[in-house]
Parts: sequence; structure tokens; C-alpha cells
Amino acid sequence: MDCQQVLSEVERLVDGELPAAERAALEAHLAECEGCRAARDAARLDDAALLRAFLPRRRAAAALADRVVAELRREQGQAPIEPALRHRWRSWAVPLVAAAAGFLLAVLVLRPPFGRWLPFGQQANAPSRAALPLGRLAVATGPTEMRTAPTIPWTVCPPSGEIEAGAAVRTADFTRCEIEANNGAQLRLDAGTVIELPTPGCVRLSQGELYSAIPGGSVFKCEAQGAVVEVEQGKFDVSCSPGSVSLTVIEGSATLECKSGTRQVAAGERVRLADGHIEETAAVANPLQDTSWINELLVLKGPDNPELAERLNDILAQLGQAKLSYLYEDEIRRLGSRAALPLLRYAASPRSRTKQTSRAAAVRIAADLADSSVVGDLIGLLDDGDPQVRVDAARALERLTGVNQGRPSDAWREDLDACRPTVESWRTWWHAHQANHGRSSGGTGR
Amino acid sequence: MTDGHLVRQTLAGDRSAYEELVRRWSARILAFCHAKVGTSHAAEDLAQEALLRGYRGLPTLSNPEQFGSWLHGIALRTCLDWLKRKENGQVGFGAIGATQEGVPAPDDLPLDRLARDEQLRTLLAEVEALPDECREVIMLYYYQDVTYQQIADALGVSAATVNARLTKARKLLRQRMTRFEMRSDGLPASFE
Repeated sequence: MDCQQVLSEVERLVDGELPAAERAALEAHLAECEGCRAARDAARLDDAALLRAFLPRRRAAAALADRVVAELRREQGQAPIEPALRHRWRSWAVPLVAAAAGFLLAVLVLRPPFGRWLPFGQQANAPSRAALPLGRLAVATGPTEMRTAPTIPWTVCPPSGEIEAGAAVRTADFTRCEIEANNGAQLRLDAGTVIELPTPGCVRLSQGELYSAIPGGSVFKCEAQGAVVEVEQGKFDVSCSPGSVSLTVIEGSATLECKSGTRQVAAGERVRLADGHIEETAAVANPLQDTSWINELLVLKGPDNPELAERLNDILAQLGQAKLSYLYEDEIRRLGSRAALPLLRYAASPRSRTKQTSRAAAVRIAADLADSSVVGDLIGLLDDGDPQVRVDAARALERLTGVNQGRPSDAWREDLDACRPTVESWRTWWHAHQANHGRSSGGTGR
Repeated sequence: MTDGHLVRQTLAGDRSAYEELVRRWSARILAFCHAKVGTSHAAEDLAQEALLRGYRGLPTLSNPEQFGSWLHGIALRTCLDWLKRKENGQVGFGAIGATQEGVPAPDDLPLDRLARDEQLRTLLAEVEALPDECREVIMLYYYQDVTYQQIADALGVSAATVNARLTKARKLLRQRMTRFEMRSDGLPASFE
């Protein structure tokens, strides 16, 4: 290759348009020729200047897409996208990223060696064994106190200490705890919370915030300032401050009895009471995030508990969803392989169940960006109902592992039943090779 | 997912599929309109109109896989209508004159940054002043990360032609700048 040939191809090189063989020949020449290198560097600088000059135009293009989408929605009577939303996403996505990062960090770093808080100093007076134990203190982030009657002084409850029927439990301003009831219910107390447990199926909240997970089998009742919440199975959160009670149902449904009457509260709903009357009912966009205070307790229960994995996956799925909603494809691609995990967790989450288009886009982009740490997630998508998702996942797997288990990526378009034997081959392969692929522990590889 | 898939989903009632097409094509359509009419303000209105016309006219698209070139055809007609109205004096003066607003000029920036932004505005103005074919490829290339082939498909020419036009456009830009020296950080030192 002589200088004239090289100079005629320098711009294609800078634009990334040269095939590998030509690029290698050209770069070999550049390594030897200072004059041609100078021309290449000048072309790069021209390109950088033009990119910079067009940056505002690229932003204008992104804003244009938002306007058109908003107009389409307006025409069809749907809620328009607020023009500022695209720019506003950072204001909540950044805390979300921080939350995810912080949560991960907590899982990795703050997990105590013995899984539970050990009280410093006094082990306190063990509660009386005379009454029937209702449950035990499962985990706590600091001292949790209990008393068995109003006339008895509060005492610190030891780790795994039994909680008796009729007892009251309270947390300090900096302490959260979880009580595991014998009937399988989990009661989590936020900082500064006071509850009474008159019977195994009833809790009375007098201040603070209580998250309850009820496994089913019998009705569980929560009383707060005269209002009564009854749940057969599900998860709900009640917070209580003077004159005000708020009920959020996270899973299942609850029956609320208050001065306004009786009503059902469904998952994803929040009802706010003022002086016992319903003041406001609202949809909760993100109940897991709204109850993120329990994350600290989940971390204490160890990284293997499924609830922790569910919350972590949901945080990652939200990140993936946010990327798809508020970034353009080229912007996501510029994030590189780190964007792959949130996109794949979004594709695997219930959040994308009814959004076929964005789900397929998530997998398509993730398939291009993925590194070997998400192999488990990709294998988990091989039995997906969407053939294009299977094709994209298989394409990425072949690129990352160098094998295709005898089925080229295009062949994953075939009927899912025809693909199943290869899905099994991939799962077997994954069990044998999982240790070689860094993270991906949250990936199902089902 | 291909454009064809998205078109078919849109026609089946999934409006979000067209939103995906809008996000996929808006930069290229805006670049195309900007190149055709030479002013970015007007181009934004025209691109918006073309994208909305595309949605309304989607049932008339015979080959869904050709959505991109079909949409460019709509954008072209939208721009030609506008240019005709402009010739007849039916377009507002504001829409014609706004050419260099691309790089914002906030008034609280340090002087060197203001100078740099001014240089970049000048460069963008020079791009707008390029001959049609050169302006078109430069705009299509820099509005979005695309390949020569994607530009070629949009314009109905070969990738080699796109390469030749880009090379010519950059050469003209260099000639039009009295100094086209670049700083070490990749930004132009001057575009006077």
C-alpha cells in the first residue's frame, strides 16, 4: 500500500468503514509513515469537531422524537409525555442508580459475618417463658426492646429472642427489625415504631411504620388509630403518625375498615386516612421502591434470600426500563456492556410483560453489548415465547461462548418445542461452566 | 426488530411500535429536512410534520420493510412544499432566518467556551452552506451514528458515492475555513 492509496482511505478508516483486512494493511502502513499518520490524525480531529458541532442537533433530534410521540398520544387521547421528562429522568434515575449501587454495596460489604445483629453490651433480661411464644426476633439493625405488660419496663430483646403473645415491641430511632411469627408471617418495623401483639393473628401499630408479609392460611389483622386492615395473603405496609394512617398494598389485597366504611384495597394502591376517614386513594407506581427501608433488613438476612434477589432484579429492571424510555438506542449503546444487565433483567421482569416492542429492543441491544458476565441471563431467555428474543439471545451466546449447542441463532425462530432440547443442552452447559462466568448469579439460566 | 415488524405491529393497533419507529428515524429525518431547507428551526417543524404524516399514511405503505425510504419520500415532499411556499412568500421570516441557533450561547459561560461555541456555530453554518449533495451526507452522517450503507439506502445511492460525497464535503469545509487547526482536545482552535 503506498501513501496515495492510504490517504484516499484515511477517512473511511476514521469513520470505521474499512473491512478488517484493509484496515490492517492501512494501519501497517501508518505505523511506518509519519506523513500519513499526520493525515489520519487531522481527519480524526475534523471528525471530532463536526461531532461536537452537531451535538446540539442530536439533542434536537431526541427532543423531536419526544414531541412526535407526545403528539401521537395526544391525538389518541392518551396522557402525553411531558416535554421535560426526558431531561428530568436523571433527577430520579440518578438516585435510582445510587440506590442500586448502594444496595449492591450493602449486600457485598455490610453483610455481617453472622448474618444477624448481635447486641453490644447487655444481653438484657430474657423475656418471661410463661406466656405462649408468638414468634421471634429474626434480625435487627440495632437494639430492639420488648415488654410483656404496660407496667413492666422495656428490655432489650436478644437476637432470636422469643416474642410472646401480648407483648409490645419497639425500635429505636436508628433501628429496624423483623419479627418472624410462628404462623409464618413476617413483621418488619421501621425505625421509631411501636407495636403490640395481642394475639398471633393481630398487630396493633401505635406509631411508626410496619411492613407485613402474610403467607396465607388465616386472616391477619392490623389495627392503627381505629382503622383495621385485614389480609388473608399478601404484603402490605402501614405507617402511622398522629392523626394520620397510610396503607399501601404491595401484593394481594386488603380489606380496610375505617370511619368511611369498608373497602377493598388492591395491590399497587395506597389509601391515606386522616382522623380515621379516607382522605386520598392513589396508585403507587413503585411499591418496592416505596418500601425500600426494608432493604437493610433483607441484606442482614444474607444474599441468598429470594426477596433480596427480587428487589435487586427489580431495581436493575427499572434501570433497564429507564434506559429504554429516556435514552435513545445510540446513547444506550455508548454505555457499553454495563447496560446489558439492566436491559436483560428488564426483559425478564414483569415490568416488560405487556411491552413486546420495548422488551424485544432491550434484548436486541443487550445481545450486542453483553459480556460474559450475563451468560446466565441470556440462557434464561432461550425458552422465551418471542422467537426474536430467542434469536438475539442465542446470537449473543454464540458470540460470547464460541458454541451454539448445534443450533445456529437463526434456527431459534423455529417452534419453541423444537428448540427445547437445545435449551436443555444450554442449561447443562451452564451448570458445567457457570463458575467461569463472573457475575450473573442473579441470572436464572433456568 | 425490523422496521417491517414495527410497521405491521402499528397497523395491528400497537401504537407503541410506531413510537419505536419515530425514535429510530427522527434523527435521520431531521437531518434530511435540515439538509433540504437549510435552516434547523424550520427543519424541526417539517420533520415533525413528516413523522406524523407517516403515521397517518401508514396504511398506504405497500412494503413495510421499505419504511425508511418511504418516510424520506414524505419528508422530501413536506420540504418541497415548504420551499415552494417560501418562494411564494408564504413562510414567516422567523422560520427562514433561523440558521445558527444550533449551539446555544448561554451568557454565563467563560469566554473561552463562548469562543469555542462560536467556532462550532460557524462550522455548522458552513455545513449549511455546502452544496446540496455534500450538505445532505454530512448532516445524515453527523445527526446520528449511521453507516455509509444506511445513508446510501436513504438516498438511493451506493455506499461508495456516500464516501465520495463525505470526502468532498470535508475537503470543502477545510477550504472554507481560513484556519482549520484543531486543538489537542479535538476541538477546533478557530473557524474564522
